[in-house]
Amino acid sequence: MNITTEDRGQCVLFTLDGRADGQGARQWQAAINDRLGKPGWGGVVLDLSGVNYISSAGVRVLAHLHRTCTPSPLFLVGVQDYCMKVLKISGIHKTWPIYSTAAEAVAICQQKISENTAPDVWDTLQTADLPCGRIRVVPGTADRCSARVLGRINNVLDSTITRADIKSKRFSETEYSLGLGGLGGNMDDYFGIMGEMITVGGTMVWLPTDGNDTPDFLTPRNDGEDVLIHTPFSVTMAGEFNMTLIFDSNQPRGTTMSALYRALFDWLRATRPDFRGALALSACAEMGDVYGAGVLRSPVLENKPQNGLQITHQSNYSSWFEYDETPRLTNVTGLITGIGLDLRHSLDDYDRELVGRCFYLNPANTGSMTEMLHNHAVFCPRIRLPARPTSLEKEIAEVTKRGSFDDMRHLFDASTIQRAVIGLSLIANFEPDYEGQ
Amino acid sequence: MSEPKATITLRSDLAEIERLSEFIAEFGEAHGLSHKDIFAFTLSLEELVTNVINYGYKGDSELPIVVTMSVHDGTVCATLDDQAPPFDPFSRKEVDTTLSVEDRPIGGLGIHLCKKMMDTVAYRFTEGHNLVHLHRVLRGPSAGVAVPSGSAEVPGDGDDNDEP
Repeated sequence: MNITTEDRGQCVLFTLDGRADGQGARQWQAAINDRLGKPGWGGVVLDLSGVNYISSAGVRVLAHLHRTCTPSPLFLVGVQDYCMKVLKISGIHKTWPIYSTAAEAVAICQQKISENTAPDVWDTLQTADLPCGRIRVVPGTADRCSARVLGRINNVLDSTITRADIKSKRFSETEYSLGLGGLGGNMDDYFGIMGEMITVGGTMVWLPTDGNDTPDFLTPRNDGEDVLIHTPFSVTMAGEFNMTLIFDSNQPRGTTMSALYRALFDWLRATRPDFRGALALSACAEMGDVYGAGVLRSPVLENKPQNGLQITHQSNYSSWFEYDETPRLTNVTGLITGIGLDLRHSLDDYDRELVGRCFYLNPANTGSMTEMLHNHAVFCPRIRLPARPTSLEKEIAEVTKRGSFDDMRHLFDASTIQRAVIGLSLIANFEPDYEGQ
Repeated sequence: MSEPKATITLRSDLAEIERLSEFIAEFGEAHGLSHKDIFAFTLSLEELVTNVINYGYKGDSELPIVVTMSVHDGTVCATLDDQAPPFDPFSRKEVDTTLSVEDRPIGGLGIHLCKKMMDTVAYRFTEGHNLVHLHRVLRGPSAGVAVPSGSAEVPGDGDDNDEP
C-alpha cells in the first residue's frame, strides 16, 4: 500500500492507495505512529478513495486511530462501496463523517481545529494547579455578581408552601438558577407536583413529583416565547461570569464536588481579595460518578409531615427523598448549576438573613462542614468536551441541541467531575429576587 | 473453457496472502464472478488464512494451507484445509457490533466479517485436518447464472446485500 502523509496546517492528511489488508494495515499503522506520535497536529483526515479493499486488520487500525485522535476530529474521504460494506458489517460506519473530496474534509477539519483550539486564547491562559487537578482560567467580566434569592429554603424543608408563595418568572438564556418549581398553565397543574429544578443555558429542567421519576424540560425556541417558571424557592445568578475555568481532574474517577469547591475556595481566598466567601457556578462536566437525591412529594402545606419535623429530618428523609447510596449514573455528561459557601471565610460581608434563605444541610449529604454546597444537575450520555474548550455557552449549546436529558437531580457532594468547563462568579452579595410576580 | 475447480497451496507465511488474493481474482475472472463476489471471498479467505498462520501454525510451519474454489449451479464453494490443532473458527460467540469503537474488544471481527459475507459456513475436523467450507450464492450482474424461475432475486442470507 502507498501512503502519503501531509500536514495541511494543523490537519494531518493521510492518503492511502491500495489494499488495507494485514500487510497494508501494518504500514498504515506505522505511518500513523510516525506522524501522530509527534506534536503539531489537531485533527486528521483519512483519504480512502484509493483503497479498494479493507480487512479486519484495517478496521482495527481505524479503531486505533480513532482512539489516538479523540478528542481531536477525524474525517474520512471517499470510502469505496466494498470497504463501506465492511465498515457497516463491523458496525462502525457511523463513527466518522465521510466526505467525497479531501479538499472538503481538510477545510472542515481545519475549521473544527481552530474552533477547538482557539490557539491565541488557549496558549496564553493562566493555569493553576490545585490539589485536585489543573484549572485554566479564561477571564470574564469584572462586574459584580449577585445571587438573587426568591422565597426561603426553610419553607421547602418545613413543607409549608402555600399557593401565595408561588411566584411566576420568565427565564432567559443568560440566567442560571436552581430551586424548586414546575411548569404549567394553571396552578393546579403543577402545585401538587413541584420538584427539584434547574435552569441552565436557556433550558429549564424539573423533576415533577408525580411518581414517574422522569424529568420534564423545556427550551424556549425564541427569545419572544413567553414561558413562565413557577417557583416558591429559587436562587438565580444573573449576568456574565467573572471567569471561565477549564478543569482537568487528577483523579481517574474525578474529583468530588466538595473537594473541587474546597480547592476553588482556597484558590480564590489566595488570589482574589474581592472573594467574600460565596461562589456560584455553572458547568458542563464529564462526570465519573453521580450521586443525587430527588424530592418525592411537593413540599406544600397539605403534605407537611405529621411529626412536625423537617422533611430532611432522618425520621422523614427516606419517605420524602429518593437518594443514592451507590452511583446513580456513571460516565455521563452533566450540566450543573450550583452555589457554595466557604465556611472558613468570615461571610461578614453578606446579609446573613438572605444567606440563610438559600442554604440548608442535607442529612444524607456526607460532605464535610468546611463548605456548604447546593448543586442541581441534569444528565445525558457522555459528550466529550473538545481538547481546548474556552466557552461554557458553546459547550452547553452542544449538549442542549441534542434535546434529550435522561435524568435530573439534586447533586450530592460525593459526585465526581473528571473534566469540565465551569463558569464561575464570585457572589458579591445576596439580594431578594424582585422579579417574581 | 476453464476448469470448474482450482486449488492453491500456501506456505505458513503472511506474504502468501498476496498470492491468495491473486488466485481468487483469477478464479473469479475466469468464471465471470462479480467484483462483489470476488471481494466477499477475498475478505473471507484472507481472514481465515491469516488466523491459521498466526494462531493455528503460530507463524512458521512446514505444513501447508490448501485452498480450493469451485463453482456449481450459481454457487461458489471454497474449502480451506490446514493441519493445525483442531479449531472451529465459527464456535466463538458473536461479536457485539453495537458497541462503540472505543468499547469494542479486539478479535473475532475477521470471522464475523466472513460469516456475514457467506451464505453458509461449516467446519469439521477429519484425520488431522481442519476443513472449513464456505458457500456463497453468486450476486451481481456478471454472475453469469440463471436466476431461478419465479424468483426476482438471487436468494441468500448473507448480510452484504445492497441497501434498499
